[in-house]
Amino acid sequence: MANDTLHISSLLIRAAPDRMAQVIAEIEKIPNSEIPLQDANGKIIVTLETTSESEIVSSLTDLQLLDGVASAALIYHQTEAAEAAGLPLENQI
Amino acid sequence: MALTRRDMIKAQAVAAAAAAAGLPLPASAQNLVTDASLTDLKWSKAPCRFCGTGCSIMVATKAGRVVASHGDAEAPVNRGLNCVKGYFLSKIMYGKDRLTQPLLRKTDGVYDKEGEFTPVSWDEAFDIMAEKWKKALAEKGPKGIGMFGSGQWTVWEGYAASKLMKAGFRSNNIDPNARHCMASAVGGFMRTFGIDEPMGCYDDFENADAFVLWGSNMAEMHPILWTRIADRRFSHPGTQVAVLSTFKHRSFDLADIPAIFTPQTDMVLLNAIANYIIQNGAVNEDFVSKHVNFRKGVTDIGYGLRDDHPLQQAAANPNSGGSDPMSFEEFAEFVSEYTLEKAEEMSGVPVATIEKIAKLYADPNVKVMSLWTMGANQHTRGVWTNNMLYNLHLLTGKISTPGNSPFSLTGQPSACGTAREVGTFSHRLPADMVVVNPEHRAYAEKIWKLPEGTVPDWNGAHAVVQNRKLKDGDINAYWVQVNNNMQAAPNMMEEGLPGYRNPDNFIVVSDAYPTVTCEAADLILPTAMWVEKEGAYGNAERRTQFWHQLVDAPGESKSDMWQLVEFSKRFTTEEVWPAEILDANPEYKGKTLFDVLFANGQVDAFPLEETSDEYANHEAEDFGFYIQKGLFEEYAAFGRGKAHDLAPFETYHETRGLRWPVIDGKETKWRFKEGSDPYVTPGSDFEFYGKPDGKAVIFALPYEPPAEVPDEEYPFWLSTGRVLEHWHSGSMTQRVPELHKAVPDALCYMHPDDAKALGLRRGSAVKVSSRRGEIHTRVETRGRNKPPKGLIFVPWFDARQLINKVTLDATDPLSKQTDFKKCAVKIEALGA
Repeated sequence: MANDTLHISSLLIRAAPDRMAQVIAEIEKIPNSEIPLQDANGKIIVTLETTSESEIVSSLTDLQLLDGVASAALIYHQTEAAEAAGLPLENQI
Repeated sequence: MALTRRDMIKAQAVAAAAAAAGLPLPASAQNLVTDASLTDLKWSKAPCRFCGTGCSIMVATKAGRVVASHGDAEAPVNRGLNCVKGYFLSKIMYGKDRLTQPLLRKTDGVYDKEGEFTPVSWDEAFDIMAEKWKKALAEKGPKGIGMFGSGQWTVWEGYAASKLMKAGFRSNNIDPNARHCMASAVGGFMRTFGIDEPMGCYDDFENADAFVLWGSNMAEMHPILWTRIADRRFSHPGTQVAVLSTFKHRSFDLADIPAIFTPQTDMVLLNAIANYIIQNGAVNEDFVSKHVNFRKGVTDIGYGLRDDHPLQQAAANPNSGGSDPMSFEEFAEFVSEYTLEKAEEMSGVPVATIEKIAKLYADPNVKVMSLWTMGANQHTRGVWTNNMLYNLHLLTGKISTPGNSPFSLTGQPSACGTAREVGTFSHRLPADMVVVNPEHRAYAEKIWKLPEGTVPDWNGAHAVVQNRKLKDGDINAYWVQVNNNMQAAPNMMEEGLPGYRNPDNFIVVSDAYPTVTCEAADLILPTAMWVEKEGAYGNAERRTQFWHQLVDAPGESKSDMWQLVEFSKRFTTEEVWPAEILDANPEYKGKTLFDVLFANGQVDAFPLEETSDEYANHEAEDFGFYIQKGLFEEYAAFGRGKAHDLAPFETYHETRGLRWPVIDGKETKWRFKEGSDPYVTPGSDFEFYGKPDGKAVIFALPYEPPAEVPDEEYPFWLSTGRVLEHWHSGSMTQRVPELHKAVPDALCYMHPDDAKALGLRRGSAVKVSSRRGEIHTRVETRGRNKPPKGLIFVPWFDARQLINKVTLDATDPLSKQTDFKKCAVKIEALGA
């Protein structure tokens, strides 16, 4: 169920370095996720963006429970009225 | 292309993650986040409200609400990380069913135990409470009232509660829910070291070569600390992780040495490893000869059940914590029967695996950290098991130095800072002092400026006994704060609920949400939570952290501290203190408990001007003085100069916490070691100064069986615990609908072969029953918790499926902590 709140969050995933490719392939299957940064030592940064609350939580859980993922830490979380989120910055300042 | 707020928020999210990961930030994101004018958020620090790890969180408010959070990059504990529970921090205060006014059970406008919950004013709430408290005190004396608090109380809430109960009402019938989780750990520390809480700290994670988990699923329960272990494992070649448990769980993914053992046989494994260390010449003889005493513990001590229970009557030395001195040679002889072969036979863990774990301790070149939580603590021999864990580190001298660390993890945010350090247990006073020691009582009375004899000399009723005494009608006025004990306590059908609903009793519950415990109460008090008040927590590594009030509490909600202090105004000393105390100290006559406890020239010593200009502080405004600072400074007087030194109040608002003892502004990372702990006598190298002779104790303790084992009628072991998505009983996390959806129902995790043999499949509805009660649930054979054959695991967060109807209230006879990890059950299919 969509609602009028947008949730944006970022996570730091710690994957076993030898299973990076597999983990990244799995993350890419998760809706509303992006991988803006990663490094060869197994660190992967994922952002999640959704208007559906249950979706974001199941994504968080799915990420943490992927095979090859040693830990998934939430870094940032913000809620924003969906309407305001789409506005150009100039109108906000 | 025009940038939107969404782009900006995302850039901030990526920037925070990059900072935490130590990765370079893409330039595109950098430009956006450095322009602070783009955000209309006010950011402040606060420790996370959930577990005992003590992560620091940056919390953003906008228009009086918390709208964003991120892991605090300046925090040494979590270094910018936050676990999934942190996602809910910004939402826990905004559940739709938040309580906003006091509710009293009434029929036709008057209090009625069988009436309906009806909104009342705070005045009316305190009127009826005071009436019931005075009646109980008049009829039964101080033993007729009781209080049950929490490791989620802030430091000053726990202090105010303890002072009101022990010095005001002169009753030691106060205990925290930490009794259910940390009492065995406390018992272990006091018995082995004479002083509570870990000697090491989280810095050990980056210094250890091996990690051994003795009954802890850190991957799910302490994910941030688990991340630090994973980092060490991946970045430091040769690091080994051993995971021991009675069933396979998420932490096994990182295990180099996995081990599944039969419930209770952790004690066999610990003795077998001690024996291995001795047999293989790995004892650090220099350390042991200088810094360790050996003692033989009294055995056959029962199971902490009611005295008339057959198991209690069969015990030779029920509840005895006694011990006698012995030599190293006698200790070696004592553990010599615990061969690796015997350990395999009893535990089911192969000899080769046990030997691998033993070598981590025995090899002088391996720095080893042992970690444990409820597996070792919720154990009918929990104190013993803690003692036996320390035995391994003391035999090898692997203690109090970076990476060599027996580390007792904590479940609640202030189980250490409040429950343990403030001493809200029924037998304790601040700074590890105890009520039965006349010198300790005198010390407390002096700091509190109260007459000699005010603090009672008897051990109060602990958690499980409180429920028994409510049922028996011995405690008639009872106040529960910050916990959901009706769901959390064992054996609720036989002890808990009948006690709360006993017509002789008046039960008050302070909570932010309507829990099962609230429903069992007579009066519910709406309570401010987390950043709705100024607070302080102490985490598992002795780190004390503060936060400011960031938002207002909804409706008429008030903090626990406000409730306690306000209630104290309803009593005069004549009403609650005996004539002999007042006759000998007439200056205390005609005063309220508020006057003598909180307006005593100390708690009210700091004026409102000292509160922050930047943040509201409703309690200080209501009382007219900076009450948090006054309570903290009076409390800190107990520990200063006694190896529990806390820094001045303001320091904690400025730092990300400090680990006590704080001496000359410096925190202490490793206690008991010369060079890192200023309390150690120069030249002694190590000094376990909690004991009079400076020596820690290695205890000779045998395996003793659990209170109940599977038999023909009840063939399965039942173990209970938590899952990642929920925290403790779920009264906060289950308010968040999407979290509840993630694991909607508690499940019965079992081995596929066991399910098959019973004609069950994944998803089958089943009845799980014990000799005490039953629940209905569904079978899960493919979940991430994978029990061995013969054992089932049922999480205990689900209010609709109260597994504690089934559990046994057997406790550790020394710590009085309940064993939720093992009892015998049977499983039967339900139709459909």
